[in-house]
Amino acid sequence: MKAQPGNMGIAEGMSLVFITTSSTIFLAAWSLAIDRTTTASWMMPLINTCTGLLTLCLLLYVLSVTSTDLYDACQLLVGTTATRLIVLYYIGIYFLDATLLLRQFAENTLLTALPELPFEIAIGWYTIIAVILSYIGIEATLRAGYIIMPLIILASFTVLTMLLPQYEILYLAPWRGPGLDKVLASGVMSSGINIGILIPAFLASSFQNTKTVKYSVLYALGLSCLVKTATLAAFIAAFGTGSAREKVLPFYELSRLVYINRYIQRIESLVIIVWAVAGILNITVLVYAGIYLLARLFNLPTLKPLILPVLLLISALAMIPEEITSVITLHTKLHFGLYNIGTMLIPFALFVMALIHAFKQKNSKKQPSCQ
Amino acid sequence: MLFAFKIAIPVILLFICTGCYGAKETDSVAYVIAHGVDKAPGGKLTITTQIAPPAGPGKSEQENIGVIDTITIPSSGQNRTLISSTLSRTLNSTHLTAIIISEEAARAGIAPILAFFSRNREFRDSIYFIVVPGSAADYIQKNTSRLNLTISRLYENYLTKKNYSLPSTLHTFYTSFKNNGSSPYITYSAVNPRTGEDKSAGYKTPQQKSTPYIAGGIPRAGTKTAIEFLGLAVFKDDKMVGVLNSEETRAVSLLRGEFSWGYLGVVDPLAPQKDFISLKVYTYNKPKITAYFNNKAPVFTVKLKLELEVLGITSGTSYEKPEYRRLLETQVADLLKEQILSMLKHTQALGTDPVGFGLYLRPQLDTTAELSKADLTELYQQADIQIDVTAKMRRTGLIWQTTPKRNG
Amino acid sequence: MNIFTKNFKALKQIVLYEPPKDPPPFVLAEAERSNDTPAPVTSSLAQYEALLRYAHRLADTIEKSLTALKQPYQADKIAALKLEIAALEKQQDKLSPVLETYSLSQSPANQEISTSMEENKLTLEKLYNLPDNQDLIIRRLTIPAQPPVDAALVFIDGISDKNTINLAILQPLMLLGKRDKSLFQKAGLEELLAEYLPGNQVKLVHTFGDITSAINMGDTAILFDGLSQAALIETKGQEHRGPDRPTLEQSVRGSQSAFTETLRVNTGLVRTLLRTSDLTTEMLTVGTRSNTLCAVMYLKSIINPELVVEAKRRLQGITTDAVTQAGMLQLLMMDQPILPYPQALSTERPDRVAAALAEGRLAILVDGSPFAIVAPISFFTLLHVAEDFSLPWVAGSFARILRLLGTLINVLLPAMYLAISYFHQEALPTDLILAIGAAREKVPFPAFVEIASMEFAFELLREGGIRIPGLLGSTIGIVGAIILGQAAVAANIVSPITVVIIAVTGLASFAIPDYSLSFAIRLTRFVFELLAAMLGLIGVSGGIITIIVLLCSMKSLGVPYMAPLAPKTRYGYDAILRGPNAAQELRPDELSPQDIRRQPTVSLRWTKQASGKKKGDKS
Repeated sequence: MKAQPGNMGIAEGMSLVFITTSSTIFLAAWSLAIDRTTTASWMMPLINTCTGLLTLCLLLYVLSVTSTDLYDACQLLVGTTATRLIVLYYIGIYFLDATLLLRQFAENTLLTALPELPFEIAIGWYTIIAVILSYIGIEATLRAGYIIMPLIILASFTVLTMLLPQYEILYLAPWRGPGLDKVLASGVMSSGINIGILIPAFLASSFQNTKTVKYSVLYALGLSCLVKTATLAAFIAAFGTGSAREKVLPFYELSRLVYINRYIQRIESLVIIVWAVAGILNITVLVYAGIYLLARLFNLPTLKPLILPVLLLISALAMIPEEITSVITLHTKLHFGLYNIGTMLIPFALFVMALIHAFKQKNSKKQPSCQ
Repeated sequence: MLFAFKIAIPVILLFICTGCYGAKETDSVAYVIAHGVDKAPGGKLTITTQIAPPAGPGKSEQENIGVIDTITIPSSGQNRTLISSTLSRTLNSTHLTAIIISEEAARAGIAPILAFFSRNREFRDSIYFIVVPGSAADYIQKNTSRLNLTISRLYENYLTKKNYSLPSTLHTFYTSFKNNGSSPYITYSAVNPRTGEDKSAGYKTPQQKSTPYIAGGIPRAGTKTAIEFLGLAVFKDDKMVGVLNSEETRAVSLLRGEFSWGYLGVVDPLAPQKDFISLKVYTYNKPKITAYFNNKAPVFTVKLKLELEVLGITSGTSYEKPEYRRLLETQVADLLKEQILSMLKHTQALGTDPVGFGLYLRPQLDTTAELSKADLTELYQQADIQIDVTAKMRRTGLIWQTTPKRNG
Repeated sequence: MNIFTKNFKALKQIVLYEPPKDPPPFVLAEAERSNDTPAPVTSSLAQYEALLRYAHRLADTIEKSLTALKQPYQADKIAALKLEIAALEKQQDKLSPVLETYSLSQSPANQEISTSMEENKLTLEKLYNLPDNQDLIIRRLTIPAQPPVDAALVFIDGISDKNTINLAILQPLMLLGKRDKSLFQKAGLEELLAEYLPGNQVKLVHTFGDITSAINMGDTAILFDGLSQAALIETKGQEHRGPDRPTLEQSVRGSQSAFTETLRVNTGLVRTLLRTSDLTTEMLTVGTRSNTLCAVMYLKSIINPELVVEAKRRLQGITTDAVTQAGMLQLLMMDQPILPYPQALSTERPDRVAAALAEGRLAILVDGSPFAIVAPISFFTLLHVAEDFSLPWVAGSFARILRLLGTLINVLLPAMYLAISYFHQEALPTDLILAIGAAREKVPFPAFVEIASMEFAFELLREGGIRIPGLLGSTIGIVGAIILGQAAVAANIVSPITVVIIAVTGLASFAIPDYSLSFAIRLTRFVFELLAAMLGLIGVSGGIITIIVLLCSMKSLGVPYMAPLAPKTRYGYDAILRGPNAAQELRPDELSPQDIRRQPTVSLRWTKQASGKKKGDKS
């Protein structure tokens, strides 16, 4: 192993998965989810967490059969060419996701905090921070993520608690939304949102063992599911689907709504810190994962020289879309479409290959004993 | 050296690039405290802007009002551009506390106003909406704070009361406007002419001692503060359709579960002609509203539990004793039930549902497709509503039994 | 003399002015750097001089033997002559051209001790630059042995104990003559050391390097004519101050003694708190010129041995000329020397060192510095103070949270003020933002300049306050701050809110117990202020994440800086909060000590025992 990202344990893995799967609560993704499944949207994170856990099981089986990381497992199971294609796909979606996140977080900066800032500078700022963090390394970034993760959870639940007087629980009715079948289908389709859960499997060699991977993904998915479900339910209860589906920034709107009394209100600016930090971390982690895979793919001795050019390219890419609506819709389309290949199809295919591989191994072990 | 350069170059670049985009010194910002919206001929709007005094609250009332500017323009957005050309400072609406809408403008529909205020980040969801009869510009001019230093604090203090008036914010209005289930409402306020004229409004139940009023009708004179908050402007979609009086507003507040305590005067059940009893009323818990469909016609049952505390009994009857207590409790329950029924009748006739009965119908529907088909407000209009009010006397103040005259 | 000639003379003096003939003022000439080795001529000159001295000595010996041979036979005299000739032979061996050139090209410190007293004296004089340097004392004496032996006592005045030298060396040596002893017999020197020198540490050495390093520590060396060995006797005795009260780390309930400048006193102070055979003190010297003694202290059965190896590796790997302070050594040993955050704890309290050693850390004490370096540490260690453990755990935890909050306020408060007043006016209650606006109405500067100038004034006060002599310091500092703030507000240069913010920040910075951490935090604060002025809270959040990641990437002697938080390790109830003393069962996990358990699960056994009565007591 040439490009070694560092030593990681459950804590680091948790922060990795939590940050990549939950930072969407700060984005428009959930308004679009409400568009699809209306009052029952809060079930979607529950459903895609279940599919995420399923993916985890498949991956863990693949890893346990091959007892390596996902890259080597691919190589073992499907051969070099297919592996290269698969890894290229993952690199592509990680960079793409990072690009879209970068653009959205930069736009959110303008929307919520600095309306007169040119968005190129906002993108530049996030890029600079991401470059610095990547240079320092994924290990330290994830450790920092582990410190920040409780703060994100605490901040979201504080906001949700302070909104208690504003909820109208009946806005969540009709309970079944557009019909449970539709909710289930949309929920399964939305599992592309969890592309982050594959990163620990790729970085498996940096983790202590497969158990670490397992528990970090399990805990982090659980936590992020809790946060997402609660936020989404609170969002619908506070705004009703009619108003909620209009909003670009669910979490920001929620924090703006906090009004306990004359003194406890106006907290949205403080929440800016939380989402900006989550956004930067998410972008950094995705870019790092992409660069790491790139280094593996081309057998590079180190990945540091790649960081700056890749992030510059990503920031330049992020500036291409002309308006934000297309970015938001594209991102959601990807969540519901292309990403699903990575979160469901490929793990399933690998699982099948691993089954065959294990079967073959059993046979080859049996044969000598027969002779 | 190289390291220092590496650090210094991005920092310098950042400083050059970001520099001062959007950074505003405090002395270059003017904070809007209140907006007034009046209807002007030709589909235009007259927007009044009240700006906080930049040098802080002064000693006289006139200083506290700050700057008031009134401009007639076709759209709210243009107001900002025009008003900034009259001011040396940049307008900042993040501390906008209230939007005062004239009744005329409200009856014509406030969707155009909403469309502007709900999209911009400077307008916060907690902005209070107030409907006033007559001109909003006039209202802002006459609203001088007496007990409060700043106007914004005045509005905020007024609008935490949920008894004879109910606060309405941009958020509450907008959500009930956008969602199926309840109708929006706005606090009703007015400038009192202070002539002492008694303009009672609406129906008065037999048990009731006091008279219902709407803002501007209280018989008062001599007091300095001209404005009063009383009643509720009710809306059908974005158009104002009527005003509920003080007692009806309290009924809405009770049914919405926002009422926590208030004073109540009832006619003495044993001496209805001359005596009355003053009480303090608490809600025991939120009202329990259930809804079901009886052959497509919705039926609502409301259970409301109240607690009473005696403040004064003019007749000297010992209402603290169990046999009389029942009498008093029924009297109060009947009074409030009558008031609630009168409010329901009124709102059903107006085609508006400020309580949000329609919300309770939502769980009865299967899917959102059905929900979007159903007009919940119309269902409310046809609904059969059963009200059950119970009142319990909990405390009697410092006197635990009343002694008749010359009994000791 | 008429007026004409007078004027003429004055005019002549002005026109033909000659400067007084003073010597030119001293200007340090710029050195011409060249990599030339010392000219070979001098070395060969030294070689000839040595040969000449040898010749003189040879001639002396020949004369002596002639007179001895002329006299009637005296066995002991002949034996002495024999030894002298043997010594001469030894000297001659050394004088062979090859060896001589080699030893001259070596630094004199590596030279072996010669059998010739003259040679040795010359070497010492050369080493210590003797006629100019008055510190080194060479006391010649004759030991009245049989035959009498010339000897020289060498020590440095001021760092050696004169009483010891007089009573324990000079006196026994000079009274030796009563006995019939021959010094040049086999083991004669050993016998001398064993029987006549009552010094508590005595040893024999062969090179000048050993002699100088011992003399520099305050020991005394004895050179004997005719012997290529020297005896070293422990006579250290420099003047030093005794343990005093701690000045930086004062405590209300902790111990009241602090380290001093003397290494041995300091190691003793630590040992009084940890009286165990486990406590190991390893001695190393650092600095090619200063030869500073350093002690590495640790508990052998607890500390992870790799830490000791690494610390010693780093200490031995330092090639610098002088280490005069513990702080300097700390910086020379650090993992990330660029970042201002302290990566080792510098403490003047023996009880803190003892507590750290008991946790499995190691301490480095430097001679001449009243501070001990404790490593590895985590960020949170820097927010602890010694008396945390003397307080009930609730109070101790409260104090720790207070310090953490103070740190956060210190970093963020001015930045938050700037960000909010520039970009996020919506974040404050209306009345407050109006009040701030009203207060700033008359101030002609931007908020950033206001904050920056107040920060600058505060830093000046802090820096100047240290230099203001003695008792006046704190008074002038406080008075200066109050008057300056008051006057600045009255002159409308700054607004009262800025003064409040800077004052609160300054106060919070004193809540940080560690001096260098406080410095680092202040530097971080300035960066944050800049970021806030540029990009508001977005800039601040970028700064926050960067600084957290940086802190997470840091290591203190290879141990993660933010442990036990990130990476998460088993929590011993002693980091951000402090658990009850009895509940702190584990040593810090991140140190990987050999023995993780500090105390058993039930450490308060008395709670499980019956009180008062003994077992079997029936009444």
